[in-house]
Amino acid sequence: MEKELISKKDLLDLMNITYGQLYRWKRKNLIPEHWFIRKSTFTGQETFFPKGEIVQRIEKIQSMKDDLSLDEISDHFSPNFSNVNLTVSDLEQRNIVSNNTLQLFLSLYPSKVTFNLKNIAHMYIVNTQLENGDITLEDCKSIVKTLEGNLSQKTESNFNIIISRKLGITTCFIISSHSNFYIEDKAKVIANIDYSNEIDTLRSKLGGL
Amino acid sequence: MKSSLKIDGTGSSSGGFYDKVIINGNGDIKGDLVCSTFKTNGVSEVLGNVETKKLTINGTSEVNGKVTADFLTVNGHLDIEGSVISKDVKVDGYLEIDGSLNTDIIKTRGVLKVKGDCNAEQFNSQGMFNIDGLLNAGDVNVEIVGKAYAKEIGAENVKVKIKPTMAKLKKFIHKFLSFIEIKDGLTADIIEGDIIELENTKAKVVRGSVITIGKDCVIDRVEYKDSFTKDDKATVIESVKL
Repeated sequence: MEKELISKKDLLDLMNITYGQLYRWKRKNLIPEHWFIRKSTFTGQETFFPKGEIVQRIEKIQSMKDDLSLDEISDHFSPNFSNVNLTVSDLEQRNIVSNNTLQLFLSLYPSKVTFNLKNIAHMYIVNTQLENGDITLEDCKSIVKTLEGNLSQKTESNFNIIISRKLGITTCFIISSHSNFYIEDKAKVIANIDYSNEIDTLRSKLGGL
Repeated sequence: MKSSLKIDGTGSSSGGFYDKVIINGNGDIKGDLVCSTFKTNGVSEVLGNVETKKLTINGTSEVNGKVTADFLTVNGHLDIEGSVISKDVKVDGYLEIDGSLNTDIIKTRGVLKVKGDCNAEQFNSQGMFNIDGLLNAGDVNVEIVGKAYAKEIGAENVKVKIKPTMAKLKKFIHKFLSFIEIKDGLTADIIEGDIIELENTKAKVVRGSVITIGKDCVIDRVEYKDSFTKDDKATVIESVKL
């Protein structure tokens, strides 16, 4: 599935913004690094953006920037992970993940009392796959362990999570966004999950946190 | 109250939490270091991350992790293998960063090398720099002294001028030794900004609203929105009004 791209030049025209503004927003982390896609064109190298996402993001920034400072807007888009702390009952109330997933997570990390955004995101990711019927509870365990072990300490979120299966055995691995990967014929990719998208979705689900 | 760590002569520490850390002589820190101030007069090496308010290097130092320091001052030579988060960076010596540099202000009169991106509100250079990634700043102010390179520059205002004393010196040398080519100036692939004023710059593309191309520039392509002026001593292969 190819996303529709827009060149930087066209974007500036369309949104009526300047280079300076765009770079300032990038510097303030209002626009994620991985939305800047470099491609060679006949006039040299140019930068493209996923059109839907960037237009929506800039409209949001423009509507907020009269009331909020750029740093405040930045907090809105890329939350400080340490700010989110939900307890088991919070999670149950909000109905973000199923009870099965929650219990599974607790069985792996029995000492957990509160959950940060990353913990919740990892549960949310396996929860979606589980409900799709793509993976089993056993698979979930190893996926959660992989995500917790490798992603919970990282501040950036530009990763893709690949879940593949070969002869009934499920494997999960994490690659950096927009990098290619190739897999042997007999193995099948069950899911290719954009981690930062999942975190964004989860954020909007969590609402005013 | 945390204790201070002082190494006079030769010594080593395993890192940890301290108030002030000062090394006079030769000191190794084998682990992460969190302290209020960290100063090296001599030689130091940190095998870990450094988190401090004020980091001052008078001498030579190497950090093989990340550095977080509100004030970072290098009067000697500092090599950092990780990334740097700071508010105020001053380089009067040599600073090399393998990761990226994020700061509010940077002032360099020495040599700055960044392998990743360099983000700053104010980027002021009167020295040499080499940025392999993107130089993203509110204001880029460069006085050319020797060679400067950034793969890409994106900013609100970009001002590149040859330092007056350097211009005089160059003229003087050329008068007698015209065969010597002085290869100083700024080189970049792409320069994008709102108001761009360049001298002594080589770039493939310059894009912006108000563009002034001054003497000794060689620009392949200029794309401008509002205005474009070019010095007689500049070469611009093509210019397009958008």
